[in-house]
Amino acid sequence: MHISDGILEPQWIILWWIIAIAFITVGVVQIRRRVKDNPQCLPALALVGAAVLVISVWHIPVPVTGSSSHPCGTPMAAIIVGPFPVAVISAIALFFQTFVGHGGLTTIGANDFSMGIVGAFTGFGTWVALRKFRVSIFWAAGMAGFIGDVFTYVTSAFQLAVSLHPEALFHYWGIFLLGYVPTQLPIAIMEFVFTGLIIRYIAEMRPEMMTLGRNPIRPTVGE
Amino acid sequence: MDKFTKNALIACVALSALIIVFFYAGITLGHADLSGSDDKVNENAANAGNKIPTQLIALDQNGEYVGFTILSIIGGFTAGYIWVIIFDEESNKGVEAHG
Repeated sequence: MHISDGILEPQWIILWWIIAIAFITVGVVQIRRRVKDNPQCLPALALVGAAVLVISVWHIPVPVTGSSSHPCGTPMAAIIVGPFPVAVISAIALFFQTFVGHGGLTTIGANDFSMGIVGAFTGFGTWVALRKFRVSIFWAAGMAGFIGDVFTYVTSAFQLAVSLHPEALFHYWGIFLLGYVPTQLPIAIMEFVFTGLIIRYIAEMRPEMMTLGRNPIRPTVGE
Repeated sequence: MDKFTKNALIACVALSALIIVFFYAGITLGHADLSGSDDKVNENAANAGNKIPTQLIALDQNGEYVGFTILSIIGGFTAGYIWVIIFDEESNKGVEAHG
């Protein structure tokens, strides 16, 4: 989902930036309020930020397809600190990643929209919905990781298609998606596993951390 | 060595082994390079739209490996340092006792 500079049309670059800035602004406000209310939020945000930075440059080779890809980490982050702060964390991670030739500066808005906003919100929404149905922490978090990962790439393919070929949007959306899916699907399954394990670990060790994201479904330790 | 450190080390070794095995399998299956799907889709999209993808810092494949490694080391050590602050039972007991 790291779209490079020079690919998207200027009007789409601006639009994705505007949307991303709106979410980032809400995220900054939430972070400031939560840190004021609960100073424990700050190390959790730093931890989650560092984790997203590392996870989203983890290139894991998929031997059958002959290419490699990376998980996102943003669904896991959204479960811990909430989806709006993840838009901020993801934008910072994407900024640093441009210095290793991963993604572009002008496309931080577009990339943040796919990874930090869609990935975080779909993941968080999945987690909340599944927890309401009393699905176990591992499975709810794992599904959140999987869905967030998949939707990140669905969004990236859409961004490319709508910018480059708006006249044949669905055709090119499918083509770009097919470029991602074979490699991304095994990675999404891997994201399922590690998101489930990490969230279950945090819920057992520090259950109070699970409320940092204003989580409506407080997990039961030992599920 | 405490239980968490042992589990974290096992996870790191297992993940590294998995990546090496996948990489070896990919080479064995005849794939000359296992570059990122992001880059491949970027290239295809750029070709289809008559665009030229550019990057702030253009790195060759080896440069990318070095860059990603440095970024991962910095991020990993930062995450590990903070993880210990949050999850280390002994230090948290200390905080609770003093708090």
